[in-house]
Amino acid sequence: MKKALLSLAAALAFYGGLANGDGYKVQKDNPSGTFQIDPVHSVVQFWIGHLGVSEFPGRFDAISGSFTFDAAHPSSDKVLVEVPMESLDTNFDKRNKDLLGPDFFNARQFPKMTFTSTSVKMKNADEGELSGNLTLHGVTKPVTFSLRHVGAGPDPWGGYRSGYVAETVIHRSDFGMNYMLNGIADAVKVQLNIEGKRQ
Amino acid sequence: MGPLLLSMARETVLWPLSATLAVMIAGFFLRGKAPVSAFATGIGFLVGYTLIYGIHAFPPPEAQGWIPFLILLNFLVFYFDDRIGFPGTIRLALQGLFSAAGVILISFPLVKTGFSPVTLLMAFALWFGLWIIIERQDGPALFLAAAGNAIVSAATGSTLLGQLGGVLAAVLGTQLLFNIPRTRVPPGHAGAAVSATIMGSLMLIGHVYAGTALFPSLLLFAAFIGPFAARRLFPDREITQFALGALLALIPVAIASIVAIKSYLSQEY
Repeated sequence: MKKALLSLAAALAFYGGLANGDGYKVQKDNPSGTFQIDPVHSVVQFWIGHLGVSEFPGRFDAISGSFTFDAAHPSSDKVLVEVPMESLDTNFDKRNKDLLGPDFFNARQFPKMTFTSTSVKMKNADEGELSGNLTLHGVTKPVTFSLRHVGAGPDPWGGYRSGYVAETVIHRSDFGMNYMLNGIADAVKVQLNIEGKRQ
Repeated sequence: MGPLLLSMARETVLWPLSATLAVMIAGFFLRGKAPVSAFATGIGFLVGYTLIYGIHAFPPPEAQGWIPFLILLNFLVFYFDDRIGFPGTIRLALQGLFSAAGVILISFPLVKTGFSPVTLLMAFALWFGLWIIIERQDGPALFLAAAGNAIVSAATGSTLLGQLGGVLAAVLGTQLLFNIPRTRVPPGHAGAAVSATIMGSLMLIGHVYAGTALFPSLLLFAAFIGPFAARRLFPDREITQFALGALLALIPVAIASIVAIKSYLSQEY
């Protein structure tokens, strides 16, 4: 019995140690540099009120662009993001088609959504505000995202990565998308998850 | 019926229908001649259009924003046709010119993205052809084709275009009922011009920007064959002509609608 308990204690110590040692860790290395957005690990997600009863999500899967970060001079940082509208996915083909058609995004006429930053203001090492011009549906408007730096550090393939989450709320009517405002909300919560590979 | 559907029904049917009827009644008692029908179609459609899509600046940022300007232009030109009577060749040339103008204005944003000239020519041929047919058809076929276009657009293309198509159907349906059993307010050249402009615009925008299915849309053109046949078969019996024409026109419209709805229902979650 004593031997069995000792074996169990040893096993728990071993696996517990393994779990702690190999557990997920946020890397907090230097986030400075020029980064190319990795489309496979980046996404634009949105949530929009539906019929006054839910907040329905959708996402754009293909993102390209770049960003720079200089911890000493964050005001000189630049963020450029380009999103092809055809990469929209809301989990139902007919809805995707409606959203990409003249009802909303009109993707044949306005095939891209772009964001170009005008300023980055960091409150501390991890949080700040990202302001810039969002062009959507052929209309360009200034927007400000709350910005959170998630982490930065080496990847297993010899590269170096840094990632951010940016959130804001826009009003679709500001961008000329006024259809069915009585059934689909005007306010849209937008979240940009970006992972970049240092160049 | 939920509040959203009620609101859509008001925008699509009730207000356009009321506006059309008001203009028709006023026009019937005040003058009783063209372009009352054109004015009723234009006003009725624009009431629904404004409620559904809103008013936009000039030049409009999107293709559907050109519709009111095209309606106004064609109404004014063909109003004069109704007043003074253009020679047939001039009328045909103007119809061709304004069909081409409509196609170019609506397709223009896509020219830089490689919109093919063949597609442009096909769009022009269909728009112009539709106008020529509507010029000779003021009966139930136009109303049924418009209703079919609303169903096909909503099911395979865009809810917005389906709703605007529904507005046109409501407006034309009101006029059809108003003219039973005899035509009290004839559409005239201006009426045909306004109807062709709205229908042509909606169909072209649907195909170019919303990917509306082509086959059921083309099938809607067959709706106009029935009334022609009925007129040939019973040249002197107006009511038989009307009833048989409507029945024959309904067949391709019903098939087009079923094809479109089946296509919608076949889409998987």
